Amino acid sequence: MANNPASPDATLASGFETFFREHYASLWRYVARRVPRIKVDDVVSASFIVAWEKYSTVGDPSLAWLIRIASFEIANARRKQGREGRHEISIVLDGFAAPTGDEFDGSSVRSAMARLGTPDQEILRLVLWDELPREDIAQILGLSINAVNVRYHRALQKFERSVALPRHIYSTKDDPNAT
Amino acid sequence: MPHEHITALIRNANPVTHEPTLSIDRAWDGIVAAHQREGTAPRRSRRRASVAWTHPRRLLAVSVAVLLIAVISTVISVRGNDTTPSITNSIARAFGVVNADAATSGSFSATPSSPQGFNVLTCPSSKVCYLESTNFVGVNGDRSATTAYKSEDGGTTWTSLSMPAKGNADTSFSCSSVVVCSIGVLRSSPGSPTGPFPQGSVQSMLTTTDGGATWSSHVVAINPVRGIDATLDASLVNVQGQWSQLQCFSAVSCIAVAFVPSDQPQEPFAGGGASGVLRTVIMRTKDGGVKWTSSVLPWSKAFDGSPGWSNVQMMTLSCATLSNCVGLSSVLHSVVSNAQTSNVLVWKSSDGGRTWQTHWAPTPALESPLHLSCPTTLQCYATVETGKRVPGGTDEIMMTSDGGNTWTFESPAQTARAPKMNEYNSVSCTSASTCWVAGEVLATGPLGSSQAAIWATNDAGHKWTSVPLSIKRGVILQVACTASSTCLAVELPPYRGGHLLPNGPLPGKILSNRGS
Repeated sequence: MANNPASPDATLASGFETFFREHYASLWRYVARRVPRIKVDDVVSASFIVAWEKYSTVGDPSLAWLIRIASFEIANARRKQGREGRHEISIVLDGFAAPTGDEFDGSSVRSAMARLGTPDQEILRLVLWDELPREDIAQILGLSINAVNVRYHRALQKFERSVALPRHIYSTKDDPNAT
Repeated sequence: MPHEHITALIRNANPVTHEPTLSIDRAWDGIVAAHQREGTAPRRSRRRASVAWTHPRRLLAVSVAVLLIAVISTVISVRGNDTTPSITNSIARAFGVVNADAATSGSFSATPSSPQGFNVLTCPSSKVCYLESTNFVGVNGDRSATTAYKSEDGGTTWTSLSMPAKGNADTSFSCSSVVVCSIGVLRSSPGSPTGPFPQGSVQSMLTTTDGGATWSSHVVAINPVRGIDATLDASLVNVQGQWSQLQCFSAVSCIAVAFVPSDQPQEPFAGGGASGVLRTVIMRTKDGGVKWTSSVLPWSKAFDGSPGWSNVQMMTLSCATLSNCVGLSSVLHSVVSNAQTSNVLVWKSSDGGRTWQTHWAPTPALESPLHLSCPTTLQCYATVETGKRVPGGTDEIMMTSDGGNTWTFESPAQTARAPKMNEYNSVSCTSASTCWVAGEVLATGPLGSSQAAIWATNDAGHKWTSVPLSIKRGVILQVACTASSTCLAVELPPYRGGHLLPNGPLPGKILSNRGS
């Protein structure tokens, strides 16, 4: 019965495939912003496998739910790495080039972000890189939406006040990608 | 300072905007294959689920748990029937009974109308309060607009103050009496390059001695620290630091904390450009802001003895007197590049910030001080962000009764008597023994249903008691109390918006314990 195409399992698999195709790219980018490139596909795969197992028990599977699963997989990967995990941000920074066509050197900003505490980095990444809705960020971090807003602006203030960015960034136009 | 330039910088630094390396079909095939392999293996969770609740060991464990709960309940009951005054009544007296209804005395109620926004309160008396209200505006909520308000009726009504000059940001706000207040204003030259320290920015201090009717203005020079690296020196032309904190004791005596650019090179990053770290500068004036003396905060090593990154030593300072100050800062380790652990460094000065003694607070790594209040030279209370940002994780309260030499810590995760909140956003102390802590209890249920909370102590933190609030959900951002134990609190109600911060004002609200 489990292999019957019309069975509940088959329906579940079909539904999950749709869910996978809807969110794969977003989750991949989320993971790629946080782990070394060589591990991205493994973490993404592990996240979707866990999601598949839990898919039928979740009332409203969403990208936020998926990202929360991925965050645990990332944490697991870091624990396995031990001290190596402390270097992950720099590996991520080194592993990816700046956005295509971007003459602005973002590596300095990413380096500056890396000097913030981990929670502050994460809230900035979720808001400004992953561009997730506040509701999703609240769900991912296990916070209220208010707390997300408060921490986001607190993190921005820390970024402003605690980091001396290189001079050439100051003279960069507001939006170097603007045409 | 407006945030739009900073958010643009961060957005543009996004390292991953391209498509996945694997095609989606190939990725799906991999997931299916892996899922099939997983499905054939025995699952630990399934094995655990097969253990029946009637198993003798489970029954024994449940019995022990029930017995323990019964014992603990009995202890609480006995303590509750003690003949000593209950903490609830003591707290009610500490607040001052301003409402004839004893049942509501001490509780916080929403005031009828108040400025909306991220509000910062200063209450020099039980009736007179000043408010710095910042709203994030624009499509992304990235621009800020700040206005100062005053209330003369305990927070019921507010009028905006006419300022001689407005800046990009009001960086600090301190009132030493009901009529004497100073505000730090940062102004940037139109069209100047953007960044944390844009060229041409000017820090000014506005002071009123007549309750906000008139203001004097003084430009405050906050020069970069130079003389170490000639190359970086060349980039620090026409660049100034800015205040993060201001504490005034009169119209003429103030102490300020500033962050300034320096030419001390940062530890090199892979791909990072050359830049200098920020240094913290303590500034003092005795003539109302005309002249200032400055002391660069000494460089400190990290907790493990390695060179510290002083650019993240953002001191939170509280001075019980013009001479006696305690500061807390978070210092990142620098054993390896991008190490992200930090510890709390305690700073003590008995000469107004000229010289400092330091020692490490016995906090775990990753902790970061948020807010410090020292009502006396010996007693200080601080809220500390622990980074445990999950339901059940909590911030902490750091307390000292010997001027910062030794500290104790309270959190619900550590002691049952601690304020039962996850987020300790603000602390306000009116005496060595009386303090209020405000924040939020994270919800385990639906999102947005977090519980705003204020707790109080009148015995120097040995016992904390929950203060009744008229609101059920939201966050308390700040609580400000006066010597007469009347308080105002800033509440941010649950936000139900969508992707972005709403245009226009954020729905901030003022709560009062003065009765309504």
